[in-house]
Amino acid sequence: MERALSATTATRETTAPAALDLAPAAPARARRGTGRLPRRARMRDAGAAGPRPPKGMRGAIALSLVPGVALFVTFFLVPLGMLVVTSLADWGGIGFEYLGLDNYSALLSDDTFWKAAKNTLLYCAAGVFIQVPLGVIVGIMLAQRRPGWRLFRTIVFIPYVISGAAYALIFGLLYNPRYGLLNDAIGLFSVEGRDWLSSSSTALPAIAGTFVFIIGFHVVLVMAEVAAIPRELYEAARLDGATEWQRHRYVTLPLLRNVIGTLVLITLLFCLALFDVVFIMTKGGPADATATLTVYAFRAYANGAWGYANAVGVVIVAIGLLLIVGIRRLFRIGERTL
Amino acid sequence: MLRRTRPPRSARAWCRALCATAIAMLALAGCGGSDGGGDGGDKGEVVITCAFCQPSPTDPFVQFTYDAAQEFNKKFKGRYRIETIKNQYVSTGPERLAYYKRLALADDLPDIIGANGTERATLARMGKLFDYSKAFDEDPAWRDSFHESALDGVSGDDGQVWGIPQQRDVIGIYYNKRLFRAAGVAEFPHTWDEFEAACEKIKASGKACIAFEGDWTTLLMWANLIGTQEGGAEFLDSGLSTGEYAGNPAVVSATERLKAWHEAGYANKDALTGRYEDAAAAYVNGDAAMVANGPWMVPLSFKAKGVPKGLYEDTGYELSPGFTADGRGIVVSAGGSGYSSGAKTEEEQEAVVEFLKFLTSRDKYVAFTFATGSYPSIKVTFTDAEAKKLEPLALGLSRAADTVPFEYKEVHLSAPGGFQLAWTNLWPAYVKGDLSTDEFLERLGTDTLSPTG
Repeated sequence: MERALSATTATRETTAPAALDLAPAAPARARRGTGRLPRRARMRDAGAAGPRPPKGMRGAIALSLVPGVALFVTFFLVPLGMLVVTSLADWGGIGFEYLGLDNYSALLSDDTFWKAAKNTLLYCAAGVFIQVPLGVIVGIMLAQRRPGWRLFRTIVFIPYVISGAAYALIFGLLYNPRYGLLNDAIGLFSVEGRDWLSSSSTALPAIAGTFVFIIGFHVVLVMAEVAAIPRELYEAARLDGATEWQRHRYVTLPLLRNVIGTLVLITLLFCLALFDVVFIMTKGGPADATATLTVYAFRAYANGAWGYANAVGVVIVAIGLLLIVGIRRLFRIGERTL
Repeated sequence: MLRRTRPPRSARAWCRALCATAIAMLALAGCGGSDGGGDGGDKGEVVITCAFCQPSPTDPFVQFTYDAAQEFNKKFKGRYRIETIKNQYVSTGPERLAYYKRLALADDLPDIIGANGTERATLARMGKLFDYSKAFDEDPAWRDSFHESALDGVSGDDGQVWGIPQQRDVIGIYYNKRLFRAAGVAEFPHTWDEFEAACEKIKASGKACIAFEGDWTTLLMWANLIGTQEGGAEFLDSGLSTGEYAGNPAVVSATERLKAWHEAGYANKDALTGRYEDAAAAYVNGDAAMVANGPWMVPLSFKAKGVPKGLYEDTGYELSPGFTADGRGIVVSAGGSGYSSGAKTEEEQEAVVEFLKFLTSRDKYVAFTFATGSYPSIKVTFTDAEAKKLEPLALGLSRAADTVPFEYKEVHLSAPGGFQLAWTNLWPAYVKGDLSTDEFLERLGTDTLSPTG
């Protein structure tokens, strides 16, 4: 097994210099290995920047950036700026009174906000600790291309293309205490049915149950990443006597770091923005037991407190940014695996 | 032979960049494009937009307005034309107000919209609504054609008229005579005690006594329980907007009684889902013996395709029970929904008024009653021939309502905008015992008035 691991390391070592060689103007200090690379060289190594463009091209490049920048400014920066500015005001379409940070202090002292934040965290936990591992396991299994894998992949992927609103309606029927299939199914085992969405104790898990098993996207991404792992690594591990479990544990999983990090990030951002399923199924009830931050923001919006709703929106954006930075660093997303 | 030379690399790059810029500009220009509404059209023809006129298989009110708009377009061809705006929030709900506010902020409120009391008040405060009072002054006969109670609901504090009321309905309780007979209940109960005794029998027969969903039909029965008490009608008229519910004895007793029905098993199992369809389905499928709702339920649910055979024949329609046999009541929905307008120019306003006069003419509103099952907001004396064509269930209740001692408003007419969301959030928790009555009513009042209720 150790040899298998050393084979992996060796491959990585032989691959890395090749990548460095692609950079034609790597500073001599770096080439000599005498210290930390300057920032520009590090970016170049990571594939983030190429050589400087020729002088005659710079104007054209700048001009070609204009459309993208215009769209970015129009549809991202301006709305974001408006979100931040209006979050500092009492604004609901009528009048505009600057409040400073009052909206923020109000929401931080509101129990419902913290309940919504806690619920959002629980949905995220369900996503990260159930959906992602399940997607990775199924993805690795399907990547073995055992008989029937194509059919199974299709079956697993289909739910992913169904909209959240449709899911909410389908699961609303499934959980219905009068005619729902779930109560019928557990009734076969003499278990008494429940009013899943109207009880504080079961409503949140019931809603989490609508999305944690939608793993089609996760599976496809993992399969693509597994397919890119050189077969030689598995051969070497096999020659070293590694069992199938050990090959996945010591070869596949470490090399899936990038994609797992990406999946965790996508799942967290999805949960942070979770709205349609919750709103359609419970509107955040009973007594806020299923409310998320987005539902909380929507209530403020529907009640005409747009400034307050936007303050919640700013908090959501800030959490999203923190997650992006944190998860990227934690999983070193974007750095080469091989 | 001439040899074509490729342009220099930098020139090609410039060309690509310019093309990309042009495409992006076109895309941006497209985003700000008109939706086709406004003042275009043939020379001399005034075009107005309507966000309450679209084909709708599920909402007969919207469908009726759409059909009327098509007739109006034919009749006034070359003079006025109504353009339909597809409105995904056409049916009332919390999202519709936000949608209207967005349009109003963009100074793009359609010339005709369907609006309820909260929406009218909000848009009027924003200064975006056309005031019909001038049109009423110029045509007093038009004004006098409406029920006063319907006009009350659309009038502002200083005599403004922010909408043309759509309907004036009395809302009773449907009951299944066959299920009543099977349970040994001889007639529809006249008092709440009789109601509960009947529910015991119906429950014993294996059926739910009354269908709820935790929202609309539940609130109708809440209103019945409050409105048939002394002072209840006043609360439903003006008390709901105060948010002070916990200290009102009528509200407390009505709330506790309604909850007790759920605990006693009188309600359908899915009485808390918040989906109207569940309450309607429980009644239509014969799982529940009663449901509170308006006359529009007859064409939508009892005479629709696929409903169980004999349902309509088995259905009766009654006033609400009261606390005494001669203290029965009825929910009145008048001036709730109405046609408001964001028309800005005089020509557009004139076209809107012309259309609404056309729409609220006697003939059209008789047709409205046939199409929707709802009663019009204008005073109509139906001829015998017309009365024969009217839905007997609704007609019977409408006549019975003339002598009922308690008449009170439907909750949504006077409740603040946040009430519905607060109710649907808290009611299931209260019924399940997570909140005491005091806690429920306190929070209901607070959340109704708070931004995140």
